[in-house]
Amino acid sequence: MKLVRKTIVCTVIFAWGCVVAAQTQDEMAEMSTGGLLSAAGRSLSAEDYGTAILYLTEYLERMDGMDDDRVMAMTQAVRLKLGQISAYLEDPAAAVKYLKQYTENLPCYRPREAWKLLALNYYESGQFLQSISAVTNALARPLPKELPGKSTKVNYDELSKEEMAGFTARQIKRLEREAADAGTALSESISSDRPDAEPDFTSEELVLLNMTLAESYSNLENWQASVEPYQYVIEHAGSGDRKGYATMQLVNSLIALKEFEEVQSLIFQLYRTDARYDIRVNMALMSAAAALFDEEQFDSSLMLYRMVLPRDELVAHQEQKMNLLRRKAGLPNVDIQIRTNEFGRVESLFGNKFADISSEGSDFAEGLPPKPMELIKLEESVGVLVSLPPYEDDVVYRMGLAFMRAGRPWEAVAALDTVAKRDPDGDKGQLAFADSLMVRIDPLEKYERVEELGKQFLKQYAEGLGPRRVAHALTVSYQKQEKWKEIKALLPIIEQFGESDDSVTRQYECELFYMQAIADMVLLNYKVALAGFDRVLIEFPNSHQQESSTYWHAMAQLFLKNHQDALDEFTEFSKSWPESDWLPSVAFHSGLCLFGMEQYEEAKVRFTQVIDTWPDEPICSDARSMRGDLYAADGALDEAQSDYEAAIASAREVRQATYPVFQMASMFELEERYDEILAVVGAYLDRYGEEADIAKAAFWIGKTKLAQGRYDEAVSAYLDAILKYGNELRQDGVDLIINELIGVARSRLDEAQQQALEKNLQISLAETERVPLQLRLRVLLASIEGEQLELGQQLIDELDDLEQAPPPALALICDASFAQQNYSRGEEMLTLFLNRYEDSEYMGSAYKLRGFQLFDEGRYPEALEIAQEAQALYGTELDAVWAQIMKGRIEQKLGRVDEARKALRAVLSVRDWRGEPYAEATYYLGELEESTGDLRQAFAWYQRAYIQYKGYANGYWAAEGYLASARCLKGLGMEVERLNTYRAMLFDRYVNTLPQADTARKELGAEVAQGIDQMIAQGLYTNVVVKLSAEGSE
Amino acid sequence: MKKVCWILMLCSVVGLSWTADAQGTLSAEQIQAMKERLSALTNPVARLFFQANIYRAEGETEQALRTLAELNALYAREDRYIGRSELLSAELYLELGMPDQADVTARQVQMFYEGTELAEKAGVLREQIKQSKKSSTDADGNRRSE
Repeated sequence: MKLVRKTIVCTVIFAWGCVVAAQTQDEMAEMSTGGLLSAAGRSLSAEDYGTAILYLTEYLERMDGMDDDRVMAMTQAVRLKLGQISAYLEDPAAAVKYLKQYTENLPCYRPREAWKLLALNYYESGQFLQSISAVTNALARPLPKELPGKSTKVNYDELSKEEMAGFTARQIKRLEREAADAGTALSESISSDRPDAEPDFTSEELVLLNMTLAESYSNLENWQASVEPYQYVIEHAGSGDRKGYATMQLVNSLIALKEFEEVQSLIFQLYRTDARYDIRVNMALMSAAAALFDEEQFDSSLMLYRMVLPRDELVAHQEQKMNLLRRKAGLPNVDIQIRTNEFGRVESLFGNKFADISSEGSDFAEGLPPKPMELIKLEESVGVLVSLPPYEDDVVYRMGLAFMRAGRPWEAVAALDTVAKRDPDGDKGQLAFADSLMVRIDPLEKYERVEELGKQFLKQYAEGLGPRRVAHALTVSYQKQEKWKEIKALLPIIEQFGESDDSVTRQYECELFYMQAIADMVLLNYKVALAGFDRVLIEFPNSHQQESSTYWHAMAQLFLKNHQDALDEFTEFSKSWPESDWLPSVAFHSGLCLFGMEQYEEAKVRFTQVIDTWPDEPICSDARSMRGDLYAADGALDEAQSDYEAAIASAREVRQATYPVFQMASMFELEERYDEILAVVGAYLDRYGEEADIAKAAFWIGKTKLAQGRYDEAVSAYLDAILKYGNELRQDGVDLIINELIGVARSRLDEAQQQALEKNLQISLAETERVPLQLRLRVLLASIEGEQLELGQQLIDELDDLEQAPPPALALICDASFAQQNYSRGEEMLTLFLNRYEDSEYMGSAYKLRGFQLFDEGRYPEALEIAQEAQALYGTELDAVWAQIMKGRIEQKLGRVDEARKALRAVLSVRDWRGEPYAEATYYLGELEESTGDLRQAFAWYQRAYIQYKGYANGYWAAEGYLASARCLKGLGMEVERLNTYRAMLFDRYVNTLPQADTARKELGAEVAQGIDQMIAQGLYTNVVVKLSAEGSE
Repeated sequence: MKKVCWILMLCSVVGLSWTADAQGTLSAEQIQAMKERLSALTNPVARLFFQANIYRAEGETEQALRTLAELNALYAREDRYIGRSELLSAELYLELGMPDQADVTARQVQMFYEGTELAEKAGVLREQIKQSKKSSTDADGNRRSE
């Protein structure tokens, strides 16, 4: 607006100048220099500044280069006058030009006035450094300077004609008198005479100079230097507006200087004044409030936002002020009219504005006096205010954010919802809506409402940032509630959002896909997670989640047991982000990859790297534990103990201490160091109290007592622990105790003790209504009585919902299903274990059921994977031998005979698997050879099954061996031997009552079979053995 | 005449809302009377303040706070109600088990209305919040040590 006004002023002057120039060009050429000054004086008196400028500049041109003292004095006076006129007409470039010349030449009789005007005009033209220099010069109170050698008044009577510049001495004296009479007004005549000593600045001028100085410093962002002059203005300014504005500007400087205490105190002062009615203050309030918000000074920011006045209120206040000025100037009151012009812009009309300078004044202005400058400036400010886009919603929105950050959530919701309702389809409204959801999540925890509002919104909107932010809020809400499946349910919605190139929108979209992949990680859907992180990395290259996605991609590879891939990715990660916060974790997990690939020494190097490089990182404790395990496996027990102890000492979380404590207990158990077990477990309980794994601790304490022969104490401690913690589903320590107690009851307690235990258990079972505890007690009782399969069957029938079933009950369900060869729940059971009881000792039953399910369905590669996973977890434990046998059978099914043979023979090399597994493996070795057509070799394995291992599995494998042997002999055409095999089977008391014996009876015929039965009844036993040479059999 | 009636009505409303504000619990009859008065109010700010006090009297603490929050956020320049509304909000935050939010609100009341009776009351409330937090921490500590 100011620019427009200036343009109009200049245009008018230029146009007027042109007219005058046309008229007077010839005239001026004829005029003497004195005539020029005289004409200029007349124009000034008539306030015809445009014409005056023409005469004065003509004068300067003519006098250029003259070094006469009087002429120089006159030239200087003309320069000052031109500077003053230009300043008045708001032509700072011209003002600066003449005033600069004035201050650089002599004589300089009005240096203070010149420096003051120069400072203001430098500031107006944006030359802040020069402005500061000029203010500094002005405030130094410079004294007038005479020409060299001059100290007295010029004696006009002694001057030559040329020196008189065409004036007579009388004329000059008259001019002097006129000048003296006119005072210091702009219309004052020009004189070369040395005026009296220049008066000091008035108080108002000093305020103006300090304001200019402060504003110049502010513009140069020299905040510190701006403080003092602003303070001067605040202390000395007469007008409330100027004081308010200076206060506001000082607030801005102090914000920049981060001196928030002073800011708060100033704001408090400001809050009590009417300064906010100043338009500039109101605008400055908003910017200062925003700056304080950015600096997290929410109290002060809120206070400022609360002071911001709505535009209507502010305009109404200004209207009153303007009308006051108008009345003083003899103008009628006028309402401010706000309208939208033909270009769609808001503009304000103030009656006869510009009529004083425009030749095309409106009818309204016709015949009225001109507007005073103060009124014009006020109109300009209101014009700026009115033309601004509406700011009220922005203020309410920002207040909402400030309330949110300050910690007044319901106020935040009220403000944000207001903005959202006013502009539901607009950007601001949608952002406010999303922010409001975020407040409802944290700290209000109004999750249901968030879901209701968020879903409703997403049904309506799918374009731009708003829907992404709302989907993000929903994701965060679900994340807080650990509702990972609900996060995944958002994926189809997110995928349907319209494409956008906007960087912030893309960033949110990237975040949404990243959170999807994280949800997959938590849900153990590692393959899907892998694809999710790939999506983030490919579709959003160099995003804010690039580093994290790369890290989690590698982690997903690790969880998928793609150890080499994971290791490669971790290695690449370290190269790409050498300063990353993830590095300790990356090194640790690289060690786990190497561990998984059985490269134990390399793994140890990585764990050592973590321990040495990041001793204060939380993961260092885990690295200590892992390295302890490796030392223990190598038999370096002292080193292992040292690492475990360090892991316990540096543990930041309970789990970090729990693991090494019980690893160390296991290690001590091997060496029968029972007192040390009690010491380490006791210290652990002391340190962590209720947070400790108390059940597991009780297990170890009981175990130690058992080893010391204190059975009653151990049983009592175990029972206490079961009853106390048995209702907590995830207490795997209780499950360990149950396992141990079953063994103790069977092998260490006499009948009376066992009965007493069972009675106690039954009483406890009757007393509790808590389902997990009930189920644990039932499993314990059934196991002591050897009725696990029966209970398993009951549980299959009873439990529709497995939510309340603890791991031992789930394991019995698996075992009962397996006994019935009903593998259909394999996947369900294993998933349940993996999701909820991954560390349970009872998970083996679920692996077995799942393995047989896959084998039964002919999904051999998947079955092989399960078998391998089970072996990785359970090694050569007896319960896991099925995995080794299954590996052999899978290899056979896949036609890899050598591998199958190797796998099955491997069973026979493990001492712990002697017994039933030997019988089974032997039988399957026979089956393998039979499948290759080597019937002799097959016969040899089958025969071994019923000769060496007939006593196992209730003779099942022996019976199968007899039948398979007979089949081989038939294939070899050895009929006599075949029938002898059947005879031997019927004589064999381990198998002759089994269903398979019916085949032998049928083949031999009823008469022979009856004869054999009679012989057996008479006490006759025979040892019929069919001999057949077979290479390779053992 | 009209103006006089309006002023009288406003005075009675303000008086009643002060009562509700001060007492906290009211009889069913008093609540009913407040509801009837509310229906006669036209000033949106007065309505919010009045409504919030009715909610509070009915035991709907969260609804009361939400209503005051609207007043606090959108009518901050309404000198007649804003200070009391903010102080009451701080108390309601505390009643809802949100001591941190109560403290922030009370702190801002202290700051915004420095030197007034409201600021003094906010100071007293902050002291109560501090004590209640301390008691809660001590109780936690005791539970842990048991």
